[in-house]
Amino acid sequence: MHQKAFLDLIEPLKPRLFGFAYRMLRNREDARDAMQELMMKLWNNRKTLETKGNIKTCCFTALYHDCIDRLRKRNRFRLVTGSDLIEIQDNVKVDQDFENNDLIRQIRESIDNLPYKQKVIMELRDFQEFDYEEIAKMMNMTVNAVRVTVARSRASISEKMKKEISYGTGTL
Amino acid sequence: MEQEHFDPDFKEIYEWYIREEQEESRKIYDEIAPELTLPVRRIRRWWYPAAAALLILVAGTWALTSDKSPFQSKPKYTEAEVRQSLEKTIRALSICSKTVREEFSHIEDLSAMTDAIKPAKRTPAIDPKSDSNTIKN
Repeated sequence: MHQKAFLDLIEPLKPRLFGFAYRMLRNREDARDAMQELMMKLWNNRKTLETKGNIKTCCFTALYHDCIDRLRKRNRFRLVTGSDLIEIQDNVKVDQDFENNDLIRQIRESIDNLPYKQKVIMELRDFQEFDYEEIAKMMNMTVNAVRVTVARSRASISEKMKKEISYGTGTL
Repeated sequence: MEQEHFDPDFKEIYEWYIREEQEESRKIYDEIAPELTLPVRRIRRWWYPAAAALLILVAGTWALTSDKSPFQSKPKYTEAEVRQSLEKTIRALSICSKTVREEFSHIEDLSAMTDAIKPAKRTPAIDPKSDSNTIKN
């Protein structure tokens, strides 16, 4: 694959991929490094890239694994024994630039406090608008399990937000 | 967006939250986008200075070592070449000297016969026995 073909393929995905990495890592520099790493991986494997079915799915899967590795290195979360769910151990420090809105901060916290896998699935579903089938493939889960996870996550966020803010009274 | 598990009131807030988050990450992406370069671009960035450095190195090596280099201070002739040239010159001069002696030997006889004649300016007679006419090796 030539450089131009590669760029045509990857360039439109870059902002979304960065958004994913940024929300997963909650750190600008780490997200940038993860993106750079991904770009290099994709470039090195450009010959096989065309043969891989969905490039978008492929990119997000690779980035997801890279984000997990980075978080592991940071020792910021622990693996729950007997489960494949991963939880963030400490409160993720968000760049101060984005702390100017209380509501955003509260929703963000409630999402960040979800088990890591749930958070990733929510991101892929709500922010990146992947199908349940695609998410299932990426996360190595069944479609039904993804549906259940999304339902639980949404219910959990709704519940938390109900307690924390009076969104029902029109105070947004 | 399909968000069937959300409370209808919260759904709107959540959609707004998603838009805000996406906008924010997009802003950051726009800031860091120039730093996200392809490895190819990176290679190209250092390829030209590296090629220039290599060219300078090759040119420098040639200038310091090549015989054809104008910066080369090596002697033009080797010692053996100078020796050979000198030997040839000496041999030629020896032959020349011998010929001259033979050619002018009769002039010596004539001068003896006409001893009274004293030319105003004489060519010095060549003494065949004299060592000064031959070049010592």
